[in-house]
Amino acid sequence: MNDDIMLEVSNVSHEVSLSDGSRLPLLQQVSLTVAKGESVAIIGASGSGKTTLITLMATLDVPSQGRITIAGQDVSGLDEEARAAIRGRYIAFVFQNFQLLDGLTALENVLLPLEVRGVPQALPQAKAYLEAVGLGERKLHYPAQLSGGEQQRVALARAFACRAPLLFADEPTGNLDETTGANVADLLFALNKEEGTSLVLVTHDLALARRCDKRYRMSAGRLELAP
Amino acid sequence: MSLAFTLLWRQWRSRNVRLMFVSLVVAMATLLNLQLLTARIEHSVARSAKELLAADVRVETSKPLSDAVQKAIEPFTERASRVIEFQSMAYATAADEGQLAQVKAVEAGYPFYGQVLDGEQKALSGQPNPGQAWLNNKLAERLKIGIGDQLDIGEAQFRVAALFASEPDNPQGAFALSSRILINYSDVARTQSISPGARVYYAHLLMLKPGVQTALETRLKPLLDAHTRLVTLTNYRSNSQDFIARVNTFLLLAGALGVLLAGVALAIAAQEYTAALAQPFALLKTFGMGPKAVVSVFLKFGATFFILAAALAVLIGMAGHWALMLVLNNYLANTQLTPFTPVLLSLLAGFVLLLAFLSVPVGQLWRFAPAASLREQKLQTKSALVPGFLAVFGLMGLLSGAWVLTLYLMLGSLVLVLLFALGAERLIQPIARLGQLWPGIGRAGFLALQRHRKSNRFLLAVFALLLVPIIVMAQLRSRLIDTWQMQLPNNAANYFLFNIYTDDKQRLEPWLHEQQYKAAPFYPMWRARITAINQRPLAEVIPEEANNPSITREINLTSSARLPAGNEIKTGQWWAPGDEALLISVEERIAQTLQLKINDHISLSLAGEIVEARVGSVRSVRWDNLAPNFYLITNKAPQSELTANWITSLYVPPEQRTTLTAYLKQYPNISAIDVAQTLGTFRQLMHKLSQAVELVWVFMALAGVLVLLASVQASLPSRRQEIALLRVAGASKRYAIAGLVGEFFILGLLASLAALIVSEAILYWLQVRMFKLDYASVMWPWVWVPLLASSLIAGLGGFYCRQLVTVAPATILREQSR
Repeated sequence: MNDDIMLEVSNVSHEVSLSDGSRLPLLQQVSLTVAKGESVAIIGASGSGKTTLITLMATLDVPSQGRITIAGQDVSGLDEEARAAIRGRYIAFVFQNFQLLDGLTALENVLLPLEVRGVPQALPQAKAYLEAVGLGERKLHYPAQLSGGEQQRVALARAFACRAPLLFADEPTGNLDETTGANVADLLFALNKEEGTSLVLVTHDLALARRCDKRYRMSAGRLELAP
Repeated sequence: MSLAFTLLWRQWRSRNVRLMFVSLVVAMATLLNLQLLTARIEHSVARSAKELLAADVRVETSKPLSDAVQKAIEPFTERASRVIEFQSMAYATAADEGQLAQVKAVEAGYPFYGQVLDGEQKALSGQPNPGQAWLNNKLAERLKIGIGDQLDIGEAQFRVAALFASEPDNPQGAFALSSRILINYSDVARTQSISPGARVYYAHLLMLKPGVQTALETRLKPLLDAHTRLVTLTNYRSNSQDFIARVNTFLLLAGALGVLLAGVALAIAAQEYTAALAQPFALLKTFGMGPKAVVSVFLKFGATFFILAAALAVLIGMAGHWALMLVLNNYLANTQLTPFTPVLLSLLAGFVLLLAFLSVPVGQLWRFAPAASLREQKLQTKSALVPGFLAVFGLMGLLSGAWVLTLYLMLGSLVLVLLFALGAERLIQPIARLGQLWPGIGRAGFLALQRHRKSNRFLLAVFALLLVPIIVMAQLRSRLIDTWQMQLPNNAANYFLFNIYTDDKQRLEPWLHEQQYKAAPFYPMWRARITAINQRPLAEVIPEEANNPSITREINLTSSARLPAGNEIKTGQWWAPGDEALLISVEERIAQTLQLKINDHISLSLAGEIVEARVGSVRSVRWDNLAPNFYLITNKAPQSELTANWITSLYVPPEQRTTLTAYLKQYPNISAIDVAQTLGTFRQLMHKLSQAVELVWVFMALAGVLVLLASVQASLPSRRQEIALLRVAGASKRYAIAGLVGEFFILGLLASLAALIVSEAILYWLQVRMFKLDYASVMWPWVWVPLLASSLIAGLGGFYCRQLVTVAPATILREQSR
């Protein structure tokens, strides 16, 4: 076991059942590794299987076949309680559509995963990360009062406040305009460098992908290393 | 896990959570109020019935109680008091006046319930002491006697110690003599009025030890015979008990329908609330919260939610009940009631409803993959309706005690839901297409109807399900109140005259006509005993009924050419004029007991003579119509009319009472029973309970409107985006509002018509089977319900739409795109 490997995906295949009873393959024999502190981009067209792969890697679902290892632990066969524990310890997530909760303020959205994980001194930590993304003065605002870019910055603060060793970002700039997207991307990589997290980034934005240490291309459920 | 709890709690601002809260509070408060009212009425009825018995139970005999029965009842008895009633001449020495009177001798303790009241409705305490007599006012007037005067009863002398107007019990019924005297039990022997062959009534009034009545009934059953019977609350029938039984049934029905209303509201709210839970809970799982922790947070919130709703429901329910008691004041005020059981039942019902509607979604939350947060997958909430539906109808059955009724309501609701699920689109499409021919802004509603034809299926079912209970209760309440008023119109007979000889009738009848008193026909009356059927002795034909006193005793028989009012032929035919043979019409319960068929021959003993009659018909009798009623009617007089006594009933205006009394003095044999006081009490009771019925209906209608309001509000979010897009495309605010109002108006019309059809079927069953009324259909609800319901629904829709058209479309579209 290589202690430098944060995430390892070995020959993972995944398929889903359709309403007519047939099976639709989404991933076919996918393998990749992510070292500690490494940033990896997965690029591909819409419908190529990127989101499915990131879902499985983040233990949000279970692969039909193959093995996924996080920090040396095989997570493929674990039940949901155990997978939740893995996520609580190792994983943070940034969503394409921000996934902030309307009923909570910006600060409370950042606090939410910290509370789940029982992080002591969560409040100052949450505030600090909101400051880090430039939204310290907006901490009591609700998502409806924030722009798209501001909401994604709150989402970034939420993800990084967890100080998880492994961060998944699914099209983090997909719903943003070019300028805002670039700003958010800069923030993402800056924080990533600062925190030393392993980053797995799903994107169709080649410019964003080039900022990562390694790139993979996804096509029709198959993954290959990209130049 | 306070932040997750905060998250759920913040949803309080969501209208769906508020709707769920209000629905739950309304359900529990309505049920509590109804349960408390029903409990009070039941207590009060039991109390009234006990007063009519003056005891918990009575053992009545036509001879002194046997030792076997005496021994049997002792272990069950807390206290006992003996009563003897017999007839004797009462003679006022000073006035030299005499009168045949009904004498009731009572022991200490009488009456255990109720009171002997004087003319000013004040209670007389205790009983007459030995040597004392209490006279009723009528007899005192007749004998021209007052307190302190001497009265001879039989061979004994008494001193008049009190005058009374009423006794709580009068087991001989209206046909006991109206001149009544109370004396002490120890004085009976002195009167020497009880001789062999005298008609004497013996009663043992018993106050029982708690909870032993059933055991007593079982113990006594083998000892009862033609001469001895046990009278309990359940077998002691009276007009008011039937009436009150109907009120109780109405209230229980109201409670059951209240559950249905609340169930519909909870179904709507729970659907939308749980659908909105998918995202936050998937997110929490993404952050590392395990399924158990997620469900635990949800359950804690649910528990807090329920406790708050329960507290508010108890407050509102008790306040509502207190308000109801203000209306019912004198009738029910003196009933002691512990609210513990009604509160517990109501809260339990609310808890079961909440659990039923949320159980499936919570189960889904447990299994919901966190990946759903990436795919924005929603919970499947429609399946939650099944346990909710079962819980609603289970509770309806339990609370009403009427499972058959519940089944009918359930089937009616299912029919409605299926009707709309399968047929709504086919119904809406042609209407919508036709409506689009309407020029200008009038089309907007029809266009909206067309666009939402799929989603409107659910809305139509909801509106119709909400309207059914309101329509059913409104109609039923009118029907019940009208029936009671018909039963007791203001000029209902308030006097019975009987023991009228044929000679007297010839003078009395014209005089009554001259005075313009509204009188029932005069009926000749003979006392007859059935001795044989088809020449076979009764004991041989129905040996199991050989000891049944209602069959073996003398029964009143009359003759009449016309079918009396309140009688209905069930089998056979009423006779034609000129029928030569002696035909007889028999009351249906007697006919059933005797296993009689049409053309059977009955042998009757009349004054020592045997008369045979052929059964021509069997009929039902409305015993509570305040007119003379008979078990046996012949087509012609079975004996000379000279041998008959005559009976009639009449209405005498209060101001003419003394005229009648004065006139009747020349007929000392005629007994006049004044039922005005009984009627007055009965009418007052009816009035009070009618008010209660009205209030309960109003309460339910308000609850129904509240839920209707909530369901309209719940349907609006799906129209927010559409309205914003219409306005972006150039539609005016007026057009947007007209569309929504028009659409809801049509939906209201369609839902009303469907609800009316289903309600009519339910009403038929309720009126005929449950309330034992004749079925009556009324046309005017078919006009006011659609108009009112559609106007209300459209109005509510228009009111809420105003908010949607005042917000900038861009704001709405931005919210929707997030």
